[in-house]
Amino acid sequence: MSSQASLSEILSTLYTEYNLKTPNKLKIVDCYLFYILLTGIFQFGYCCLVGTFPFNAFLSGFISTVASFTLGVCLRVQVNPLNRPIFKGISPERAFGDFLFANVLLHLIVINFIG
Amino acid sequence: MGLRLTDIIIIFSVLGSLVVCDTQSNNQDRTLVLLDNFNTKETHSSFLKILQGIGLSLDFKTADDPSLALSKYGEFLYEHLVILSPSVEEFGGNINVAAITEFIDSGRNVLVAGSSDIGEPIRDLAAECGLEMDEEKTAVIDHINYDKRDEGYHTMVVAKSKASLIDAPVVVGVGVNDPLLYRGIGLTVDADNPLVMEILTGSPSSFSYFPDERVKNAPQAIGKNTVLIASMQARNNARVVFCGSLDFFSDEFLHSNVQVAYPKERTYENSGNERLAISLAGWTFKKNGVLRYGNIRHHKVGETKEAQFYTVGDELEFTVDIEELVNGKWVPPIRSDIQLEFVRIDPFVRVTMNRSSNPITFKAHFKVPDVYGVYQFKIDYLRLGYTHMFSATQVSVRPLEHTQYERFILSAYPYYASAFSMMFGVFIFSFVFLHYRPNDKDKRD
Amino acid sequence: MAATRGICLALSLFVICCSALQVDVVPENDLLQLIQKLKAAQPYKDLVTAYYSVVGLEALNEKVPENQDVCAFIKKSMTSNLVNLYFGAFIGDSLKCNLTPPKDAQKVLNDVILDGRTTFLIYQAVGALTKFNLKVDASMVVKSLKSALEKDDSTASHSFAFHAAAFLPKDADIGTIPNAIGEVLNQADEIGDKYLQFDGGIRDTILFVTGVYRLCYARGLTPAIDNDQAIKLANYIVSKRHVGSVRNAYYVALGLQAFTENKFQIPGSVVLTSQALIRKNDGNIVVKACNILGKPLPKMDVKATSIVSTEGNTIASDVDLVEKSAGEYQFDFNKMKPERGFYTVHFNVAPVVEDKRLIGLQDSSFKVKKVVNVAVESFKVKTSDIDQASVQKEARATFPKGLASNIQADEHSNVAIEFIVKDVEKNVEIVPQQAFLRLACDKCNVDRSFLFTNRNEQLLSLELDITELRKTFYSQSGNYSMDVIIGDPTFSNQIYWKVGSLSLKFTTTGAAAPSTKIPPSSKPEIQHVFRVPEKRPPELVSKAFTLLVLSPLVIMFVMWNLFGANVSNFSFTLPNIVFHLGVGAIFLLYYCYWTNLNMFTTLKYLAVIGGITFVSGTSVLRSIANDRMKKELR
Repeated sequence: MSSQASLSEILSTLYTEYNLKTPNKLKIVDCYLFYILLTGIFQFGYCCLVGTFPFNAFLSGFISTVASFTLGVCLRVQVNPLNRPIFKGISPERAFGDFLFANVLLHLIVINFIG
Repeated sequence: MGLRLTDIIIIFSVLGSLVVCDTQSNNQDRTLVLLDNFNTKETHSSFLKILQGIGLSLDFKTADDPSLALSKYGEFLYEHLVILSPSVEEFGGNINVAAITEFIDSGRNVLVAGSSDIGEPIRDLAAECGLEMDEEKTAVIDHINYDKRDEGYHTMVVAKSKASLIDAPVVVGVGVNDPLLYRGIGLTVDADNPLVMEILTGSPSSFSYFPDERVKNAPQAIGKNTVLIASMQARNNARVVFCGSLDFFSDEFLHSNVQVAYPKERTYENSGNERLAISLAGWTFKKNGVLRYGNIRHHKVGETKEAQFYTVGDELEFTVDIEELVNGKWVPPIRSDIQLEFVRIDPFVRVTMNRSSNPITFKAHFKVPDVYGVYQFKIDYLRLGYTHMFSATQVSVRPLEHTQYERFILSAYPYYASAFSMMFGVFIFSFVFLHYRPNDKDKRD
Repeated sequence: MAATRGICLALSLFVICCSALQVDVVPENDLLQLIQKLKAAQPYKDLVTAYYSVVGLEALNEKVPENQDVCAFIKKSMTSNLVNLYFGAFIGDSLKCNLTPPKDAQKVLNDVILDGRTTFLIYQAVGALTKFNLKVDASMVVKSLKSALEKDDSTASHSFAFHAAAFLPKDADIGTIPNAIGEVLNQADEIGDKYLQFDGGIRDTILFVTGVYRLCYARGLTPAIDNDQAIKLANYIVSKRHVGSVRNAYYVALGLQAFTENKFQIPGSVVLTSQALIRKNDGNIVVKACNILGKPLPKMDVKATSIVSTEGNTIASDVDLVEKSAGEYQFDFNKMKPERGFYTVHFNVAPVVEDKRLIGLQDSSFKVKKVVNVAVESFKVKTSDIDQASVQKEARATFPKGLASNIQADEHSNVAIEFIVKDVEKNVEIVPQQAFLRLACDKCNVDRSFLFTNRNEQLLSLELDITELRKTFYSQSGNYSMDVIIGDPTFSNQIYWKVGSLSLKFTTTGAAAPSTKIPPSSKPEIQHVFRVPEKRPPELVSKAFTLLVLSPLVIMFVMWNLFGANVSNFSFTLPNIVFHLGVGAIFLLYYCYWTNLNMFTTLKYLAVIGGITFVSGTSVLRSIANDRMKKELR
């Protein structure tokens, strides 16, 4: 491949590869992750704009997004067929079960802390 | 009229017990009056009548009477002491300066009169109370403000009330505008002593020295520093008043007119001595200028029961009943500047209390500071001529409980939205993730 | 007859008592006050007050004021009871009203005497009868008196018996009544070697004295009171001259009369009536020989036996005094050419015509004072700098004008003030008793006086070293008023000279001078300053961001649409439904937890819902897994 890579070329290649190569299921997860990311960014932006009052609510909301993102990422990694060999004992369903369980715990704690 | 023996016995015992009860209730104001000799009883009869008029029951004894005693078996026999015996060289009986000091330490009051013919015990007593009396045979001299009838050494001194009398109506009364006659010894007072009050001072031209000698050393009592009447109110509110002139209280001075020579000759019809003597007696023997408090209550605004503790930011109300003794009767206080402090080491709040509909009740109303800890409601009222009123009530202030914070804050709505949005996201996602059926173009890797 | 005893003399504050007994005299002012008290009782509203006032004034030889027709008043008020008859009789007799007593007066009064309960009542009855010129049965009176005395033998009781007996005719036999005089007198108390009184105070003492003298006069007896006792009783009565009520004024008036119009003992006294100040143009010394009311005694021979200065020099002896007017004798002190100072003049008094009744007159002494006019001269204020000792500013002033300008001084200054005091008449320099400099600054709360000394002959000087005095002045800079105070008992003009002002400048003004005059007062109020809550964003911003934060959800749905996400595999099996509902329920529970539950209840519910969800969830996942395996095996 040619080493001269302008940013837009890289991006468009990335985009095309992504579209072709990624199974739809994973794309669904990616959309979900993107949504969480956006939510987090908007919250953070709000906090920077108006200040940290009330701090616990901010932390709660923000960490809710961060942790959800993390859990989503974990799910995507575990569900990705390409990673099957790594996660021998964990079926995608099991991964989802763990994901859901972790989310239930996470949101309980978030609601406890949000005040 | 046949009374049986039993009836007679009953009658006598009832009468006897009434007599006993009567003497015991009189102990409230039993006063020992020490005299140089009983002549003083005649020459000072008006003043003694004034003392009886304010409710004192007087016991007259000469100062060297061997049966003198202020206390017996550890209990004090008198509530007040009047010493009209300036020249006593040694007190008789069990009285001495130490006994009198003990008397004062128990909260009891003393009035002492001096004269140029002063003995050591009175000077020592004055020293114990923070005052210094000049030496024997000295007198207060004023060559400008003397009474014209004094055709000798100008020791019969005139004090003009406006300039020389302290501005404290509770001590000296209201309306003492007439000049005062004084003939006696001078006092000096340490300006730093907060317990001592200069009630009457000499004019700028007065001084205290031997009347027949030329002044060779600067006298301590000179000009306005020549104190004629001074008082000491101890920390236990005992009052001791020293007047350097026994003649000040004599019938002659009380009922006399005043004839001055400078700046021009003028006769004032009445001396102010009688009015001042009445006010001074009332103040010294605690018929005036005494404060008491009671019935301290504090509660959250809106509640009536006393609170066990307060939380930061509460509105609280503090009420206290305060009364002042005026002419022997308890009445609502005349002054309105009593302050309440809310103190935790340092005062956090200090507010002047207001009267409520009940004239003796004062209340204060403020918001509990947002610093938690153990506080005290302090009333520390000290004014010229009044007893020291001090009260401290402890109360604790707690921080907000975890359930007392503000919730559902508008500015946190984005965060709430995000949290619930996340939860909704998980819910929807689980639907989509679990039940997704890929299309025919299914990529399997 | 010059008694050999000691002296007396009241009023002048200079009296020296040589030995025993003084006779006190009522000062003129006090006598006028006493008379005024009696006169002021008019208009009379009742007989008692009228009695006290009228009889009291009569005793002092004063006329009753004519603002009220007293006789008519008595006529109206007189009824036939003892008290009214008694008062009416005495007042009527005193004012010469010529009253006729009511018809039954005789009977009423006799009944009282017969009843004889107390000597007081008997006395009133006998007195009324006598004043009305009615008949008195002397023997009945005496009998009643005796029996009343047996029941009550107090001082007052005996005194009334004396009074009553005094009304009886001279030939009536009054038995042993007078014998009690000595006994009763023994009950009197002596106070301070000067007074003699009875326990009952004014009333008992005066009743006794008047009773004894009246009885003894009526009977021609000698009263069993010796001269010293008489003087002491008189002194006691004089000491009680300040009265509060008309009643007491009446008693004192009677008592004073008893010792002035007396056939037995009249206490007399020599009083200084002129000023004790001798000036250049007014050197007359006047003494008065008088009784206790201040009324002059008959002609006396008065001599100044010696005039001695305080240093002990006798400047004159045996000077005769000339009679100036009734009872007053004088001589000119200035004739002795006295120097400025205090002198003691010794007098000797003897009546020209001997009168055995006069008691208490003895040798006496007075202190007099010769005063001179003084003036201040050569007043100078010299200011110099400590560093440059030669620089001097000198300011002069002539009394009574002050300094022309302010005196300036600062921390390095030395202010020296000097002057002399001169006797104007003799043109001689004097050193006064008091020579002070007063520096006062009201604003700075400093008021100090300094002493002038005469280190140098008669020159009075004072040096103020301002550096050393920094502490005295509390380093308060300001304008201090300068006053020079010169005083001495032997000056006829005392000097308080407002000379000028001294302006002191200290480089560092110290803290304010302490003052006992400033009373403690209210402390400043403290309001607690609460922590300012953090600023919150405007509502709009929060709401906008809320929507913004929710927007990614929409974006997610849009993206899912693009990818063709679907839920086609969803089958309405029970576990499926239960599972998804369970998950929804959990999140709903969390919402409820946020709004109004607490952790404990939430965990309880969570356990239940979670359990159900878990069970159904495992079932759902298993079926999905099975489906997947089947697909994979195909």
